[in-house]
Amino acid sequence: MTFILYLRTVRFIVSLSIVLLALSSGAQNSSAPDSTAKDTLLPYTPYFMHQAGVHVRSRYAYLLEYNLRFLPHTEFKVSGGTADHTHYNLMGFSSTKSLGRYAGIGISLLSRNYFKPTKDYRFQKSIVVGFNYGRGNLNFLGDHKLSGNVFPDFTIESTEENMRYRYSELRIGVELIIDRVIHFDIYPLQFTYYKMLSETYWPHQYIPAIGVVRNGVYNPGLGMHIIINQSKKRK
Amino acid sequence: MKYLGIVFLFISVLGCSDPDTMVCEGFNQEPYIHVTGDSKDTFGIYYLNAESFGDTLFTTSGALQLPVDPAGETMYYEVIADTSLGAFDVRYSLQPKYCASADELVLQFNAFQFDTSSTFLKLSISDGNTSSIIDTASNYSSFFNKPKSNHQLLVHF
Repeated sequence: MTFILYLRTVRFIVSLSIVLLALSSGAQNSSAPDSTAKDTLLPYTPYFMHQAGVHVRSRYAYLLEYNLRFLPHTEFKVSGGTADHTHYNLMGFSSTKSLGRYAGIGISLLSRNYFKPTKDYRFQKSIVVGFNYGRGNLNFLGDHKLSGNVFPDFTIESTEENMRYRYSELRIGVELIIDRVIHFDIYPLQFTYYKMLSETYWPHQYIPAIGVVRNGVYNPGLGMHIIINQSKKRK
Repeated sequence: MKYLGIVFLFISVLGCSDPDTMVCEGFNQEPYIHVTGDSKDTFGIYYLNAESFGDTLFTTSGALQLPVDPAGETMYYEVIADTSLGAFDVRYSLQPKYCASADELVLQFNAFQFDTSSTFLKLSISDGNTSSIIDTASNYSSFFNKPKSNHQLLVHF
């Protein structure tokens, strides 16, 4: 019965995300004043982003996280760190590298309840539907290359520092916990909303995932998050 | 799985709703100028940038694309047939601009002027409908930012 209720909850969240995305699609399709005919082969621009990967947490943080699961199938997260983002467009025209700090808070619904885990919990897996909200600062370093014909290729470098942004992520995926220490969050499906709060010369993208990006602020993608907890001391 | 399918379908629909509209002014590669001579005889144009890098382009059709150094601010051009027919300089500045809808950077002329001392060739511009004699005091950046084949620099000889 609980599992059926959980599935209904997941269905509700997925449906809600679809509605929100549908409502937002009109905004992101508004014409830019300098809009241009598309010369890409696909409506999406592929990009690659890796979120530097391992978080080591103290035993206290580990206990805090698990004991905050006071509601069944629910967890609250506080996260922060650095991100490294490289963006390439389909034509190999430009690349932008972003380094930044972020901090956020989130809530996830899980199909398994790990409340007060016992020693038997050597390997756990759970479906996760999670939502995260965060803010941060990003530094951008970009190289934009224009191919030459009779003159050499022309490269324009751009740097922008301490650009404030906020983001929201809706993730659907799987959580794996091995021996209560190594924690994988794998998100085959991830929607990201971001907004630059500082005015930037370039329309930077920040998407903590691997996947494709449109010119709007809602982006699907793939993501993986790895957490290694400090090992519990043996008595 | 059904809902995942719906979501992916929705993503595809979002992709199809992109606007495909206007042309963004500027160059997403090395800038150039469409040049047409008023004679179909073979002629060439020697180009030279401020770094003394140059070559000659020849045409038998009466038209060619004249290169502009994206890293420079001046170019020297000399029209050549059997002999030199005349030369002219251009002074220009380029600025990058981002075309958000195409997710690409373009270079746009911020200024584009013909040098008064060297324009002894008779030059005019044409947009395909009307043409006008070059005014060496004018800024032709907006005209040459439209790299259309009917936006031409006409060389009369």
